[in-house]
Amino acid sequence: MKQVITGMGWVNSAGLGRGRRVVYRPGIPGAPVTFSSKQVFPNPMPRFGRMDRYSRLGLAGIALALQDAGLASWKELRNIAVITSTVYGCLETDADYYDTVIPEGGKLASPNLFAYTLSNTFLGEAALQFGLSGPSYVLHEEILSGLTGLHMAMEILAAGLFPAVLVGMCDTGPLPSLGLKDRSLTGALFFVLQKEGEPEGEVYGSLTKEISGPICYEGNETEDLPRLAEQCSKRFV
Amino acid sequence: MREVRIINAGVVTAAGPDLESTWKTLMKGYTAIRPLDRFPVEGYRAGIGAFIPALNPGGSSSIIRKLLDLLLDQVTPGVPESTLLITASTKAGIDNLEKIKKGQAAIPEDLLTASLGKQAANRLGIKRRPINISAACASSTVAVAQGASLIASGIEDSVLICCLDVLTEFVFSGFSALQVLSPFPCRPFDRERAGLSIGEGAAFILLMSAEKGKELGRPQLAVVAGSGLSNDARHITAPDRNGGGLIRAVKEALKSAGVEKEAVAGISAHGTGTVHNDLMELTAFRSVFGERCPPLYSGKGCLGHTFGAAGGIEIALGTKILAEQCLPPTVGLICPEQGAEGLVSSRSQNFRGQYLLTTNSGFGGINAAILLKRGQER
Repeated sequence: MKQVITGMGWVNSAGLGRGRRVVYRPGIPGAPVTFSSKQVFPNPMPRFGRMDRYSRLGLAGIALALQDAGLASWKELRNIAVITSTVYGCLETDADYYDTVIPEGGKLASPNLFAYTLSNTFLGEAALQFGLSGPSYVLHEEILSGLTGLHMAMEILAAGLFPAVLVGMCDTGPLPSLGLKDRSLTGALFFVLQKEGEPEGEVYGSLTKEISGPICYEGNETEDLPRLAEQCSKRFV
Repeated sequence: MREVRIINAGVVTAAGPDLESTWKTLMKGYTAIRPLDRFPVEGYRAGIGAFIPALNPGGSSSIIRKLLDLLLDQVTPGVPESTLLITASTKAGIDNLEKIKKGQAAIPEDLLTASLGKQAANRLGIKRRPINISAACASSTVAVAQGASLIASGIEDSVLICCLDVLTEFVFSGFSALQVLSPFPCRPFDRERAGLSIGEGAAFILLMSAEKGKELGRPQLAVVAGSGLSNDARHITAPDRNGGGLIRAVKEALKSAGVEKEAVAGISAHGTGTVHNDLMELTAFRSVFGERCPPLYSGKGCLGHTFGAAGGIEIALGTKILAEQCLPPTVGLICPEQGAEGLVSSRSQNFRGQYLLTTNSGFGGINAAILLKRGQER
C-alpha cells in the first residue's frame, strides 16, 4: 500500500510547529514544555486551560498537524480516525487526581480531574474541537516509537473507510515521584495520512508498506515517528 | 476478506471463575454486586461493587497481575507462537498508585499498561511485541475489532485479545464524584435506575483465520462477521443523546458484514444503568432497527461495569448466547424504561437467529459495535 503524509505538527521542549513552517527538532525527554493556547489556536479556547497537561500536549499536536494539512476548519463531522501512542499516558493526571481523593476519605475527589484520567480522553477533546467522528484510541508502548500505531493507521486507511487518519504520539515524560524514571518523549507529535492521489497540493512524501513488511518513507525504512518527522521536515523548510 | 473465527474464549468475573460458571450465574438472574470491603466506602455515594474475592490487595504487586494469571490459566490449549497479543485495559495496575501515594510498597511498573502485555506474552511464550489498546469502556471491543480486521485483511493468522480491569478506590471515587454510582445494584434499562455499579473482571478472545483454525483442527465458537467504530464528537464524558456515534458504529458493523438489519436476532447492549447511557442506546437501536428492534440485554446488573474488560466479557458471553440460542436476563430490571418495553426482560429470552450485535461506548466519545455470527462447525 502507498499513502502520503499531508500534515505534521508537534509540541516539545524544543518548541512547537507545523512542518511547512518550522524545522522539526526533537525535544529533550523530561524537559519542560511551555506554550500557550494562542500559539496553537487562532481563536480563544477557554476549555484548553481546564485540561490536564497530557491533554493539552496531545490536543496541540493534533491541532498543528490538522492546520498543516489544511484540515483544521470544518462544518460537518469528518470520518477521520486518530491513533496515538504513549508510554505513561495520563499517569501524571492520575497522580494529581488521587491527591484529591486521599483527604476526607474521597469526599473531595475532583470530578473534573477524574474525567482526564483516561489516556484517550484528549482524543474526545480533539474530536469535539475538529469534528472527528472516526475511531480514536491509544496504544500503550513499553518504549515509545509510534511505529505500531503507524502500521495500524496505514491498515485502517487502506481499508477505505476514512478519508484521513491522524497518527502520532503523546507523553508527559518520566515520573520520578512515582519511581518511573525511564526516558520517554515529553510532548506530542502527529502526522496526517491520506491516500495517494486524494489530497490537493504538495505533500511531504510517500509511505509504503507491504503485508507484514516494514514501513518506508520515500524508500527508506522508518524507525520511529520522531525520525520520520526529521526526514519530513526537510521537505518544505 | 478472510473469515475471522473465535476459536476460544474465557472469562474471570465476580459472578464466576470461568465462562461456564459466569454464564450460569447470569442465566439464573443472580447479581454478583455486593457490599465492598476492599477499601473504606463511607465517603462515597455507594458501598457496593462486583469484586472477585480471590484478588487480595496485599503485597507490592497490583491485583491486576493476579487477575491476569487467573485468566491465562484458562488459555488451553495454548496459542501459536506467531500469535499477535493485544491487551486492553483502561487503568491497568492503578491500585499501585494508591499504595505509592499512601507510602506502601508497590511495584511502579505495574502502573504501565504495557506491562500487562509483557506479562501475558512471557507466560504464553509469545515472542512478538504485544499491542496494548486503551479506548475507555470500549477498549476490548476496539481490540477485538482491530484484531479481526488484521486477520480479515490477511496480515495476521492468529490474534489473542486479553482484556482486564480491576475495582479500585481510584476508579470508585471518580465515579462517585461524577455522581453516577448507583446506591443499589445497578438496574440497566429500568425506569428507576440510578447509575452504574463498578465491577472487575477479565476475558480472553482467541481469533484465527478460518484457514488457520482448520489447519490446527480447532473448532469455532463464533465468527466475527463485522465491526464498526466511531466517535460521538459531542462530549468527553457524556454520550451523544441522539446516539449519533453509536448509530454510525452499528451501521458500519452491519455494512462490513454484508448483513441486513433484519438478520440481527439480539443485542448485547452496553447498558451501564446510567440515565443518559441507557436512553442513548435505546434511541440508537430504535433508529437503526425501527419498529422491529431485536430483544436486548445488559449483563451489568449481574457483573457490574468492568470498563476495559466489559466488551471482551460480553463477546465471550455472546458465544454462549449464539450456542445456546438464549438471551440472558437483564438482572435488576423491574420496570423497563419507556421505549424498552418488550425489548428487555428480567427473564431470559429466546434468541432465534444467527447474528448477535454487541456494543460498548465510553469516555472520549468512543463507540464500538461487533456483529457475531453463530459458528457452523460444532
